[in-house]
Amino acid sequence: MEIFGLLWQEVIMRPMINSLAILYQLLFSNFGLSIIVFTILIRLAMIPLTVRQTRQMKKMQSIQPKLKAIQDKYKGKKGDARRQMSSETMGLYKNAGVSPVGCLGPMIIQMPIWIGFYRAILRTMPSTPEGMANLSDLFYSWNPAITAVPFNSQFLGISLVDLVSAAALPWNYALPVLVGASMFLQQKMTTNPTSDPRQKQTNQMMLWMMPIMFGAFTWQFPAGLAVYILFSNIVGIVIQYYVGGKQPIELFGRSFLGTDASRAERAEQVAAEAAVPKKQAPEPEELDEDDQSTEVLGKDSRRSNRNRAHRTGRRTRRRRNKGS
Amino acid sequence: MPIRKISGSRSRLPILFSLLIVLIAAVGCVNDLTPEGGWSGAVVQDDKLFIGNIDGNLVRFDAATGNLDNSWRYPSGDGLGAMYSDAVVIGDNIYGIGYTCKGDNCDGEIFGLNLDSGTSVWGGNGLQLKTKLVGAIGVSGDTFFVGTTALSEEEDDPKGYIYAFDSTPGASVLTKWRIPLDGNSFSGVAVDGDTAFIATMAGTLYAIDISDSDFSDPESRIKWTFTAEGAIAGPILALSGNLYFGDLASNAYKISISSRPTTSSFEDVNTVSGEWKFNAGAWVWAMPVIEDGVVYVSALDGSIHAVNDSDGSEKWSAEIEGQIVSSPTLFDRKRGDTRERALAVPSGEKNVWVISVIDGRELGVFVTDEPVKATPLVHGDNLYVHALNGDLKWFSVDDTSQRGCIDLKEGGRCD
Repeated sequence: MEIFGLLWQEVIMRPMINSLAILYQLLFSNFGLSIIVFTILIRLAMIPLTVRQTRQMKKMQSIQPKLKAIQDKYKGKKGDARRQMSSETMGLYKNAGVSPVGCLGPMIIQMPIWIGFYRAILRTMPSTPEGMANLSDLFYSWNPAITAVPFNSQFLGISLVDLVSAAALPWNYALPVLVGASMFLQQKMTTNPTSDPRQKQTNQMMLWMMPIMFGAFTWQFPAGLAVYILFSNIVGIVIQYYVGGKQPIELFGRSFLGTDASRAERAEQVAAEAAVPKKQAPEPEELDEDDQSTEVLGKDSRRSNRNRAHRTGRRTRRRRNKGS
Repeated sequence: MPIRKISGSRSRLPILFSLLIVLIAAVGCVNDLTPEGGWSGAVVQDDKLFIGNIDGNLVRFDAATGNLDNSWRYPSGDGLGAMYSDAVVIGDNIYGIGYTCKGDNCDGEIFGLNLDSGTSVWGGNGLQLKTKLVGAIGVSGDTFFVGTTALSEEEDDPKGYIYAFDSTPGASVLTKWRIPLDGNSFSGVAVDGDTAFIATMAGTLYAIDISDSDFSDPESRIKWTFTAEGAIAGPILALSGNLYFGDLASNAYKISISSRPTTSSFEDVNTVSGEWKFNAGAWVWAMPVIEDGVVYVSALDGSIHAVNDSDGSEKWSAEIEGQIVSSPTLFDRKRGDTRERALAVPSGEKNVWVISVIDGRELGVFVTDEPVKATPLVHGDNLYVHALNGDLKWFSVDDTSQRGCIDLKEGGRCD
């Protein structure tokens, strides 16, 4: 375990703390600005991962019709047939170049960076004598910013060290709301629409629960962390917008941003979804135990249908409707 | 069922991720915002040692019997949280400070106790301030001085204060005056004659007139200020008309107390008049120690530097493992039939190391197996060490062997 602690400190914590300190010196001794700029740099550095993640998700969507076919083929069967289904499924993944956990990989890689950054903010502005003394171990000896400790924690009238709840009005309320709102927007951009009622319910829950939960927790976070989350979300939204092909953002029943092409594509997509008879998505009570996997996969199946609709337009929709 | 698992884990991942972040955040907040203390060294009075334990209780240890006086403890229940400095004895009483924080809401307490009975004799049950109380108390006559960080109950308040308190038991007005400071103060207060010295994390050292003269505005008590290159976190030593202290820009300073301009800075250190600035290579937190014209400067990278008091030149340097947060202690150790002078250097990693004052050689070790952030105390032929795990261990100064150990929280033996 000691080796992990050492790796964590040398590979994550020290580079981050020293970078934050150098940015602090470069950015007019303003720690808020150094957090914001560092957040942007980190998110930019992760663009290749984000692109890879997006590609993996698209690949996964593209094989959904085949997956659905396999599911249908073995529906209601048990024993060896189920094993055969698993084998065919894995073969499908392999042939398509999809790693079942490929979508998760980049996120897993990003996690230590996010957590490390959070820890770095707290450790760079310690409020206890031992925290201050420990900070000296984390600086590189060549770092000129070492003489600037303790850093000025004031930013826009709030102390980045203190809890958000202790910040002056309006920041004590504004920061949780901004964090929640930005997270909502980011979630909204990364959640695929679905006509499946159960999946829609799950998506809705996630869409609201995550922002509300984070907004509420932000109240008890150090303000510096809230600033980090807020700008991380904002940068994430911008990156997602461009990596995702400038898709329009739908809020309150209206579309914002996007290009003419992406808006037209989206309108077509919505029309396609509206045209799919409800019967295609089985009601939850109709599902037996064996159908649970099909139900769980439902959202992906519908995603693939949507993609197919993108590619082949009305002809595809007509054919699908006929099939139903 | 692979497919189902993949799909299921994907839908649950954001929730798990959020919970993980929240868990780490919660642990992080606790670790980084809650003071731990354990830096308080022992003060000796009539063979009794008074020590602030790791829970923030001031306890009394009987050096003669090697036991904790279980009836003497302040507060008698839960401690004040953290104690970072030694208590001070004024007459028949002992005064100390402690604090704790929940988030950014801090509760500090200054207390005065009767040395014999342990009962509170000052301010009813002490004086509560919504601030962090870290640095040592300074004393002059019946007045004692305390440095603070910002007070959370005052809006737009300064970042710190120096308070002058009347130490008289039963005094109706406790606070004589207070002066705002430009930063948090962890340094404690040093006193030399009619002047008190306190420093801040903004790097400013204040010389303050503490005479009984009538000052309509307390701030007019400020005689001069000195701006160091970095923050001043550690204690200041006032000795023979000079001040010795370190900063977080890796410097140790010797500056003259008298004939200073109203404001001066590290760039004005006058080497001609015997002042100097010494680069220790790492943050200097511990108070320098002086003997026989040599200043021993300890740094947080574990280095110890013997510096000539006259000109600031280095005689030798040595290094131990771990940070040196508190001052080393000078003591005599046995060497054959003679005795030699040595430094007992507390290590933030573990143990108290014995270093020769002649050339910095390592001569031995007092094995604590725990980090030590309190200055060791030599009393009789024992060296007492308050380890960071809450134990008090005592050793023979002659052969460094351990003679006893007691848990300062519960009072049980640990040897």
